[in-house]
Amino acid sequence: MEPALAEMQHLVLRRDLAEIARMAAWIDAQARILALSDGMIFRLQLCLEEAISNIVRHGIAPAGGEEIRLSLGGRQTRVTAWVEDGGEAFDPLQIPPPEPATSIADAKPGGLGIHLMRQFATRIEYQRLGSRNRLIMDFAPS
Amino acid sequence: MELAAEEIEGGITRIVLDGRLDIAGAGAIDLRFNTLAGSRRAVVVDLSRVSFLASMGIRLLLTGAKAVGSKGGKMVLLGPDPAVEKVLKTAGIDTLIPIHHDARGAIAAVKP
Repeated sequence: MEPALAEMQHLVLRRDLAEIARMAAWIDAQARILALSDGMIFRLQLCLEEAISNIVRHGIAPAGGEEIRLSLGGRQTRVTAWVEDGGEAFDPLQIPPPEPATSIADAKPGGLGIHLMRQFATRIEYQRLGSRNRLIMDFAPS
Repeated sequence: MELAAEEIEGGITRIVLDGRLDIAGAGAIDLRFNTLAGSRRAVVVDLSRVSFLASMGIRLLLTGAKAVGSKGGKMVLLGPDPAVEKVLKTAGIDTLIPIHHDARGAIAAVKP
């Protein structure tokens, strides 16, 4: 039988970049239960690091909305991650892809996180639920 | 995340990165990496022991390459594993910082 998470798993993160290391260890633990391939683990880790670091670095949270909630569910061949935060409405899918730089002198470091998420997740959806942002990312073997 | 630097032939510096080039890994080495990049004109960054790369790691590589390039120098990347290379290519970095898979080619590419 295909390995699956019997129920959705949750992790609550503070708005602090140092939390990303704790998240990475937690994702690895879930990935072991699901017996995910190295490629799937890499994509999950990449997209979730980008999602969380965007929220921490750019999101403005009102008092009481500081927590970020990460949930994971699914099975070996279809993992879904939900990222919820109480910050100002921010739909990353509305951000245009970065302009390709033509030379190293013109290249601007940064702005790549959302582009990478869109390329490495199988599907991304954004929802605004009351005062919360929810980003849903699906991962299937590519 | 570990960083080791060695001078190889003809004024070329090889910087070996080892570990996860995620937000924590990039933060752990950015000062040393930028100091090296800011003072060298021919740099080979060996990525063969890097198991993970996210956008903060790309930012580190790009900032370093800009510092080397601003002095008229050259920086190349050596030996990324397929997953790391896919991130580099998806980000369009391979067109700005050449990727090599053999050390000889990398050294020849940066030689002053």
